[in-house]
Amino acid sequence: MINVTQFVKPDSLPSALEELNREGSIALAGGTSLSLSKSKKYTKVVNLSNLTELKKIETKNNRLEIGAMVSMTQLAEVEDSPFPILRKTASSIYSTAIRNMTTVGGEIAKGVYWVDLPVTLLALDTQVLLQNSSSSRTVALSEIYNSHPSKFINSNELITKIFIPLQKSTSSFHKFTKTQVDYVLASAAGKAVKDGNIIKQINLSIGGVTPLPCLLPQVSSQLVGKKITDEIIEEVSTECCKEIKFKPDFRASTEYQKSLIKVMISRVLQDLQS
Amino acid sequence: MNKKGLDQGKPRPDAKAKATGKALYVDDIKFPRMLHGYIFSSPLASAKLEKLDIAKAKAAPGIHTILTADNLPGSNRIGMIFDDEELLVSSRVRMSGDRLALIAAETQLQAKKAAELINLKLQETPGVYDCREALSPSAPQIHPEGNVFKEFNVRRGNLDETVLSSDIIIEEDYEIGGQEHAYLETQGTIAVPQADDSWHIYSTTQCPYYIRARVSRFLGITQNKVRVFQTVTGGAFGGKEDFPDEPALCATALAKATGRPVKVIYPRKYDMQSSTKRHSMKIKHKLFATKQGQIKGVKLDIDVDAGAYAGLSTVVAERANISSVGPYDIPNIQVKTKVIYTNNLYGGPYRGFGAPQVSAVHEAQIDKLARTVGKDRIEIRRINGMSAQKRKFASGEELAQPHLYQELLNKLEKISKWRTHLQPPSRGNLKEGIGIGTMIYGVNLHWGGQRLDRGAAYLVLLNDGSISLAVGVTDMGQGANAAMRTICAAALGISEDLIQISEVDTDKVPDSGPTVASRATMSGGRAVIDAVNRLKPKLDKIAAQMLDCEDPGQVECKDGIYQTKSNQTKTVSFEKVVEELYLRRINPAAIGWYRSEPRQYDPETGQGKAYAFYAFGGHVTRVQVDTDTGRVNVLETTAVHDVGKIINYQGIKGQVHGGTVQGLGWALMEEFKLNKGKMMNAGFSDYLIPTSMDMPEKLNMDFIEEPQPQGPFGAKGIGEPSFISVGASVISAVSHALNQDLKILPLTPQNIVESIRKND
Repeated sequence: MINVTQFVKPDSLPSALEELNREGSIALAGGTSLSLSKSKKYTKVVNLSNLTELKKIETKNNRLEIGAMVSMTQLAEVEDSPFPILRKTASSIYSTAIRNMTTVGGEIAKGVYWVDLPVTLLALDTQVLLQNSSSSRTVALSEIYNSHPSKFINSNELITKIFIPLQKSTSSFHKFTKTQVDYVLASAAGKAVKDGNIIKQINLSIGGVTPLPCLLPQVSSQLVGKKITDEIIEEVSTECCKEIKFKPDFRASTEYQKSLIKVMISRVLQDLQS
Repeated sequence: MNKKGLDQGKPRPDAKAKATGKALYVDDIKFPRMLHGYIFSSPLASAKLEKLDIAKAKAAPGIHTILTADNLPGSNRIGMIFDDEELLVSSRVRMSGDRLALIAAETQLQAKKAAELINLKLQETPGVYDCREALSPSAPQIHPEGNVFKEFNVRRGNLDETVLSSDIIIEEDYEIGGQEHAYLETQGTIAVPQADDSWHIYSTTQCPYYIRARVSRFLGITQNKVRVFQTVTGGAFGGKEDFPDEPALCATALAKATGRPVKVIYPRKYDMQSSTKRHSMKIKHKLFATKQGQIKGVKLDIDVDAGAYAGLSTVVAERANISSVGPYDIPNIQVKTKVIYTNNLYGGPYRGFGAPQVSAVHEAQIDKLARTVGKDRIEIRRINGMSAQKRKFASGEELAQPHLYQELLNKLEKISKWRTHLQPPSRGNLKEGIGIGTMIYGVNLHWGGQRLDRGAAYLVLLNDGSISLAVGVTDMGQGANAAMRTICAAALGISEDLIQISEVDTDKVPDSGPTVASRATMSGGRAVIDAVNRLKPKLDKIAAQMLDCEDPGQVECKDGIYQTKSNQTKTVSFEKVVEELYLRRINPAAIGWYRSEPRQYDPETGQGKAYAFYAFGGHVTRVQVDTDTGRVNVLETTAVHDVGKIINYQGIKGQVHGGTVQGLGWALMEEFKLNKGKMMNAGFSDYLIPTSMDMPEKLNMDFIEEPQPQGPFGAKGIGEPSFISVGASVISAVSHALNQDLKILPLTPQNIVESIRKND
C-alpha cells in the first residue's frame, strides 16, 4: 500500500462503485487484510464504511440476504437466525477486536486458506451478488472458489450481498485451532436436507487444509439416500481425506491435518445425524 | 499497610506512566540529527559469503553510510564469554539472521529500501540442526574448536553395582523445546556521540553495565567514556541480559562512522529470528530405586543445543547441570551436561536459566516411579524430597531450610484438593487429569558467576525530607523499582511516597552486576538497606537530640514520625530531622553495597556450595485433554512458593500470574518451526503465545514465609521460580489424563495425538 495517495469515503453504493471503476482503486471493508497488504499497485483506497445499505441482514424472497459490510460481530449477534451455524461460525473467528472489523464481503474476497465463514457459506449453497458501476451478476460462491476470488471478481466489481436459500435443513460447523485466536488448522461444515432419517441432499465442506475452502461433492453424493449411522460416519470421515488435496503447511504435518479433518467431519455428521 | 506484604499498598511507581502511554520507551526518544540504522542479514543459516556488493545501495537516497566487515570502525570480534561471533560476517554465515551489513539513513524506510539494492551471493554449505547429530565426528564443525564447547558434571556418591542392580530402573529419553521471549518491546538502542569524545547509549536492557563494558571494548576506549541509560523496558525475561549488547554495538558502529546519533530498533520478525532463545535440550534420565520407591541414584546426560554462538549458554547449562536432580536428596548422582554448537537459533538466558527444562524431566521421572511402585505422586515426593532429615542438594551441601519442601507439598495438596481429583471424570474423548511439578532454585548467581554477585544503591536525603534513590538493578517490567521503594521506606520507617526511583544510569551507581537469577530484590534490596544503615544513625542521633533523649538507640521512626520508645507523646517528623541534618551540614548521601559471601565449589565434580541460598516452588495443574484433536484445556492451576518474606504483594502476585501464564505457553503452545535453522513462524500470527482466553479461570496461589537471613527482611526471589515448575505440572497432568508417560515439551495438539498413536 506504499503508493496510496488518495483515501475516499463515499456515502452511497453507486458512488463507491464509480470510484472503484477507476484504475488503481481498492475497496476497504474491515481492513484486517488490506492493512497488511504490501501491494504497490493501488493508489486509491475506497472506504466502504458509510454504506449502511450493505450492513443489513434481511429475509426476502425465501432467502436470507446478508450485506457485504455486515461484521462478524453483527452476524454472531443475530437473534433467531434461521441458520444458527452462521452465529457459531462468526463467533469462532479470531478475537473480539478482529470480529468487530472483519466483514462478510472481506471474508469471501480475501481468498486465503484460513478463512472460516466461507466454509459454512459453501455448505449453505450461498450465492454472491457482484456489482460494478454499470452491471451486476449473481454467482454461486462455489464457482468463485473453484477459481480464486482475485481472478474471478473483476477489479471494478464489489461483493455487495450474499443470498442463502431458506430451506428446512440441519447444519453444522466445527473448527480446530491451537489457541483461541489462532488461524484455523482444519474445519468442516455441513448442511443436510432430510426425509425422516434419510438424507435427501447434503453439502459437506472443509477449510484450513487446502489453498481455499472447498466442497466435498464426492463423499456428499455418497450419503444421499442413506441414514447417517456411526458406521457411515466412520466410513465417510475416512473416505473424505482421499478427496482432499492437502497443501503443505509448516504449522502441522499432513498426517495430523488429515486426522483433524476426519474428526471435524465426524463431528459435523454427528450433528446432522440428530 | 498491606497485611500480606511489607509494602504500603500503593500503585507501582511506574504504573501511571505506563498505563497512560506516557512512559518513554527507547523508540519514543529522538535526538537532533538522529539517523536510523538497519541490519542487513543472512537468510541462510550455513553459508559461505561470496559477494556483498553495496555500491548501488550506497548511492540510494538518504543513505549516510553502509558498514561491512571490511570498514567497521571497531573490533569485529564479539562475544560474552567466548569471542566466537563477528559483529558483521567476514566470510562464514553460521546462523540465519547473522549480520552482513549495517546501514544508516535519514529514515528507516530509506535504509530498508537501500538494503534491497545490496547484491548478495551466498553459497549454502552443509549445516547441522540437531544437537545430537552435531556430536557425530562427521558433522559439520560450526567453530574450529569443535561442536562440544563446554561440559559440566555432577558426581556425588557412586553409581556402583548395588545401585545399578536396583529393583526399579526407569530409563527415558526426553525432548524439551525452546521458547521465544516474546517481550512486548523489541530490542533497540540509540548511540549518541558526545562532543568530548564520550558516548551516551540509550537502551532497552536488563544489564546496562554489560553494554558499557562491551561498547568500550568495541571502540577501544575506557569505560568512563561510556554512559548507559536504561530506558523504560517493556519486558525482558532474560532476553535483554546479554543480547542488547548487539544492537548497541550496531548503533555505536554507525554513530561512530557518521558522527551522528543513530537509533536501531529491531522489527519483530528480525528480533524473533536473531535474538537469543530458551535452549532446547535432549535429556536421557536413568533412575534407580527400591521397590518401596526410595531413589538410590540417578544418571543424566543433558545435551544443550546452544545454536551458532556460545553467548551465555555455558552459564545456562551450568545451572541446568546442578538443578537436574531437583529437590530430592539422592545419595548417588552422575550428571554430564554438554553444551553443543549447531546452526540453529542462538540460545541464551530465559526465566529459569535451564532449570525449567531439567525440572520437567526429573518430575516426569519421579511421576513414573510413583506409578511403577504404586504410590501417589505427592507421597513419592514426600519420601524422596528434602526434609529436616534429608538436607542435601545435588552439590552435596546441606541446605538451611530443607523442611520447607515438605511444607510446600502439604500446601499444594490441600489448596489444589489433590485427592478429590485423582479419579477424574472421563467423557468420551475428553479426559481430565491432575499433575504436580516441584522445583528447587538457587537464588542468585551460581558459584561460576559469583564475581558478579554485587549490588549498589545511591541514596540521597533531600532537604525537604524526600529521597532520591538510584540502584544498579534494573526494573524491566517485573516491578523491581516498587520493591526497592518498599524496602527503602520500610528500612527508614517512612511513606513510600517520599521516594523517587527511576531506571538505571551507569554513571550514578557502581556496576551492580546483571539483573538476572531472581537477584534484583535480594542484591538491590541489601544495597538499599546498607545505604539506609549508613544514614540512619545520623538521623537517629539528630532525632534523639530533638526529642531530648540521650540514647539514639531509643528512638524509632514509624510512618514518618520519630518518637522515643519510652515516651511516645513527644514526636518530630522525619522531614524536620532531615532539615536539621542539612542545617548541621552533615553528608546526606550514602552508597550502599552488597556482595555475597565467597563460596567454595569444585566444577569437576559439581560438589560444594553452588548458590548462596535456595527456594522451593511448585505447581499443581488440572487439565482436560481432547484425545481426538490433542488440544489441552487448562482447568485450574495452584502455585505455592517459598519466598522468605513478601516485599510487595501486588508485585509478587503479578510475578506468579506472569510466570504461570508464560509457563503454560511454553508447555502447551509455543514452538519453533525451523527449516534449516530459519524460523518459519517468526511473528505472533504463527508463534502462538497465550492470551487471556487460553488461561484457566482459577489460578490459586499461596506463599511460605520463613525468613532467609541473607535476604532483605528475609526475602528470597520469585521471578524465575514462578515459571520453573509449570511445565513439569503440565506433563504430569496430561500424562495422568491419558494414562501414559509423555516425554516431550511442548505438548502441542500434534505432539499429543502422535504420542497417543505411538502408545496404542
